Amino acid sequence: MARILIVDDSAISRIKLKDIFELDCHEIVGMAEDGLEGVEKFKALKPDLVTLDVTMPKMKGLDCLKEIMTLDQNANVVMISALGKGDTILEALNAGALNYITKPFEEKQVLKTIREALEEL
Amino acid sequence: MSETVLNLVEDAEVVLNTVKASRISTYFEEYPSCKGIVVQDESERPVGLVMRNHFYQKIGTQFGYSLYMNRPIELLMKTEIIKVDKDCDLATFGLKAMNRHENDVYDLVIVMDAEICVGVISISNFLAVMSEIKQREIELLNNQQRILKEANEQEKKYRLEIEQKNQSIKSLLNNADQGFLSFTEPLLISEEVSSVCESIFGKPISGLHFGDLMRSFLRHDTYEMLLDSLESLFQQTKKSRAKAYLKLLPETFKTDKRDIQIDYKLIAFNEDKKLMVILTDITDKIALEQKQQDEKNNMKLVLAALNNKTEILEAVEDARLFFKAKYKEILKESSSVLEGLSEVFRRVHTMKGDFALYAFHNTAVGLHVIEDQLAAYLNAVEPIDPTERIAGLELETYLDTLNFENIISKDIEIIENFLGKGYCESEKKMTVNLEQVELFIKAIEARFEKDDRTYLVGKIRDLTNPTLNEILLSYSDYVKILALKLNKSISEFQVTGSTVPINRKYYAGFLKSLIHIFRNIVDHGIESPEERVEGGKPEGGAIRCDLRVDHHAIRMMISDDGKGIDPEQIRLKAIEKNLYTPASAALFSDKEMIQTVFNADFSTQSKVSMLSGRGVGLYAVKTEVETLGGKVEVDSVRGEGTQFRMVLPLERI
Repeated sequence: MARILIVDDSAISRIKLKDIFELDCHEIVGMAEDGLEGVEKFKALKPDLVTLDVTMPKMKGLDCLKEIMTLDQNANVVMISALGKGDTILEALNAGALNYITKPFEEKQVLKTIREALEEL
Repeated sequence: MSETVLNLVEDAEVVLNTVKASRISTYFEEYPSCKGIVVQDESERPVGLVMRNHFYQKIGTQFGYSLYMNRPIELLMKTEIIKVDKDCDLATFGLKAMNRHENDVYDLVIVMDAEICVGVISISNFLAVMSEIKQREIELLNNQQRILKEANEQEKKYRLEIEQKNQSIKSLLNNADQGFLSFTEPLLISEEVSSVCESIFGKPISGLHFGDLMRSFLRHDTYEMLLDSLESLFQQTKKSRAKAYLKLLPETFKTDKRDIQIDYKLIAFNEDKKLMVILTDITDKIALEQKQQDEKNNMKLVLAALNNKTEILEAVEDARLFFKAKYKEILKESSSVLEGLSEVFRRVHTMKGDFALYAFHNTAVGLHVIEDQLAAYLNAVEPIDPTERIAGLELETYLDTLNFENIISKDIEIIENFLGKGYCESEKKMTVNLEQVELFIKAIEARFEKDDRTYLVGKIRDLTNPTLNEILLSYSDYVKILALKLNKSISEFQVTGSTVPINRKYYAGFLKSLIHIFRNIVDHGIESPEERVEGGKPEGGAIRCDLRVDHHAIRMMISDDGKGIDPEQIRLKAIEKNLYTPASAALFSDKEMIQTVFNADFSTQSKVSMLSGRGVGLYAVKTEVETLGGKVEVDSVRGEGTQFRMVLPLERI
């Protein structure tokens, strides 16, 4: 069981991810609607894992990732992205993200990615 | 060759230098095997050598015979003798012996121990021993060569075996429908390439750079992504991230005639990373799949339309508003074109994700095209560009030309084909003809594989057969409103335990009767807020339902934290209503007594309450439960609450 922070500007995505994670017995310690809030909640909650949407208002996912990696270089961040965002994903992985999930979510794919990421914690 | 001469030494025949030659002649005649005699002086030091051949040469003539025969041997002996020490090694000995004048080469060599002669060595003996040693060496050499030869043959055999094994693996790979190739860090394709690869690429590929090989089949950005991802992948130490890079590699490519699927497998992660690439020809599969996929997408869309109607209608409404006017507002209110554009882009992007989530596939694709176009604008606008305003106008013109109805129409059409016209116009609640649902289920069963089918059909069945949990939860609003009317409050309404899908028709009577239990709880069980606070309870009452299910039965418990049932009051009322005589009532235990609440003629409320009717309520529950073959009982602790417990036989859906 991991403590997870969900950062995503789409309410539907947040709810969907929360449902999937909770069914897999993880604890959702917090949710944020934009990058700035994401960084603040990361500081405050120190989650085991962050799911981070790439496209968000106020602070983009990639900038948010960089802030988080500066705060904790061992942070475990899984990017959430629409299909066809390879460049951004590659940049995110090189910047320290552990893995990524593409929208729309397939429950099995989400769980597989998260479990793989958690195995290395 | 550190052997010494000791083994070669023979006993020497020795004479004094004064002995007459005639005596020597007699000796040679008596001992024909004697080749030579050592001559010593008085102090026993060797001073010369008489060799048989030399001796007879000297006395062989008339002159020689008369000259030497009666004279001392010292006149006739060879004085240039070779002496060696007994510890002399064979090599030194050989050199000394062979360096003599050719006439003297076969003379005996005298072996000394200090000043004393201990024996002689005959050269022929020496040569015999030497040739023996040589022979041994040759044998040894031969042996070594034989061993070497055998080893070579063994090696050849192994090589052949390995070759055969490789060959059989290769033929296995060659006969598979897939192409296999692999490479390590510098991306050079290794020699083991299956023949399918060559037929896919139309040329031999081992030794080629994987990136170069793929370049002509990939879009430029995909090609760059391939190189970048592979580079990062081979440097990666975390397995999860390495797998993430793998996912970024191209999954398919097209040659002239074929569609090829690419799978990647990371072999040996830790030391030397090696990537195996598996190529599968999916040309036929793709055509078939596209058709199936379209149908599946349609099914998913209809299912989502059934399940999430409220959310979908909201999303559609928001999108319509956005494309009608909202984008203008956003652009107007933004402080710069760039800011406005970013916000519009973000909205469209989120919209696309939401529609994709609801399986509005065609809509998502349409929005994706718009998003790409916006991204192009976004990339073109420089923040301080004086042409920014012009770009802004262009953008607005572009957005003006978009018609969301065109984008969404295809998906709506698909929904309406299945669910009837007017999906978008209707209220949030929807009536669907059950026959249509059955047709929809049949359509799904025909198109989906086992797991998906079970899942999807289950979801649809859930729509028409809600779970017992959902039915219980639907009483939540009812009890809260009821409580308000009675100036009471319910702050908690919970359903816990197993999820129990239920055959609504079969349990219909029972499900209806449950309302009496909830009425009773609110009316009689839960106290007024003042009473509750006085009793140390929270103002609002709590109602909890718990469900357990096994193979045969559903066990349901509905409890409250109200004032409980007073058995004494029940006893008095029962007597008052002539249900029992005082004597028979006295025989009941408290628990038995309170079961009277299920009696047809019983109501603890002296006034008939408008809400709880005449007390037939709980009797109705008992009748329904018993009709199904089940049991109901009540349990209560005064001041703490009441529990209704029901056991119902399980009727499968």
